[in-house]
Amino acid sequence: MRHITEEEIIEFLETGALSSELKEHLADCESCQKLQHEFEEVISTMDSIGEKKVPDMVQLDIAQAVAKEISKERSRGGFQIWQIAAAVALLIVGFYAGKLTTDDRSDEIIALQSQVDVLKEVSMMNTLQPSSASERLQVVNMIEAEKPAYSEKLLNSLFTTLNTDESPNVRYAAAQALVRFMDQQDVAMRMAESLEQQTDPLIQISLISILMEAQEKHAIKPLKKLLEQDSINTDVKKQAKIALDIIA
Amino acid sequence: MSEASDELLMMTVQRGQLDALNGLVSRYQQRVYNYFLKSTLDGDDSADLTQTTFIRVLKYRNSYKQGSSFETWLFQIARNQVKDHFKKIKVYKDRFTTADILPDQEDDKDELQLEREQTLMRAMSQLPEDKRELLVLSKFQGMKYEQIAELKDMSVSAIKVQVHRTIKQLKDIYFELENHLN
Ligand SMILES: [Zn+2]
Repeated sequence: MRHITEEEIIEFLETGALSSELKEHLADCESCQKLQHEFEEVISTMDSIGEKKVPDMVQLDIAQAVAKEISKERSRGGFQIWQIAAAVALLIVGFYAGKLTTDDRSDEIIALQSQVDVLKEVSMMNTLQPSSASERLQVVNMIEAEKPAYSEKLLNSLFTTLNTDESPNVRYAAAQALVRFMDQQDVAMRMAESLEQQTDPLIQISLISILMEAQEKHAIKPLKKLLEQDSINTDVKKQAKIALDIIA
Repeated sequence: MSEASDELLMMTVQRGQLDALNGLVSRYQQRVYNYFLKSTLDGDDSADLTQTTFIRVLKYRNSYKQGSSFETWLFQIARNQVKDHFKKIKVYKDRFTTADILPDQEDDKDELQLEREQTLMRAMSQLPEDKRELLVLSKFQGMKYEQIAELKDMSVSAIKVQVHRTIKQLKDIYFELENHLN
């Protein structure tokens, strides 16, 4: 009878697999037992070494570096399409100014096009790169950041964007921008309707979370529909179940 | 959304909600930091590399493919950093201090166990970098051979053979060091 090879011992320690012949041999052979114990010591020592906690100073450095990079990335994104951003910003400023002074003027400004429509016009005039999805994204993000006051036009353009924009990134940003208007009439209901149309998991989840928070009863039907789908993403499923529990 | 998967958080970052990265940092910084500690055997370098890794996650966010494992992608970035690191610096095998690498002393760990862990890390330091990496990933990061195979773009059986061969090599160095000490 031969000795057990090192390879066989490692396999045995990893998986427990060893032929009954070799097991019998191991029970009687001191040199194979010694080898087994040596490997056991090395492997169990590797298993027992834990992880070092990240020192607080290091954690702080990481958090600061990440925060700095995030703000750098944000300003970079804005800079690339600064012409459009500037044009839209002007409009939003005008919109605010109107809102703050007289209602007549604000009506005038509201009567201008929605920010998203304006963007389309600006980008046509400029005939820049065809990176229109990122431009639209920039505008919707700006609407969220600038927090303009409620207007039917703005709301409609956000919903149109949410339901029809070809880019999921833009649709997602539109959903985020709509959160602020949840207390307006019908917004939650329209969001529940929109949930039925969405196929992107991230958008589905963000709508579900928003509707859950609002405890919107109209969401029950689309949520149940979602859960019936076989191809549903597991994160979406989890979130939909939680939401149903809370709303229903 | 507190239980959102890593993949979902990463998609959120891709969608321009860059703050979602913070969730991934708090989930993974300890693992990434310890991966670097055991790979480079240097505390300061590991802190820097951990930081750079998350910055790269942000910078290269669009190269993350939806539906693929975030963890594998993250360690792809981390691995490349270790490779770059070793192009610049060679490990000074006996110069590292085990206290920088091993977890802070727990009271319930006995002397013998601690000595074994120190000897093991010394033995690890004498392995070639690519071999050490295999053990760091499989034993310390607890990755399955399948995942390491994907990470290194090799077959599962090839990874298994290499890991086993490296364990043999490690065992020889370990007992050489232990006999030398006693
Ligand atoms: Zn034997």
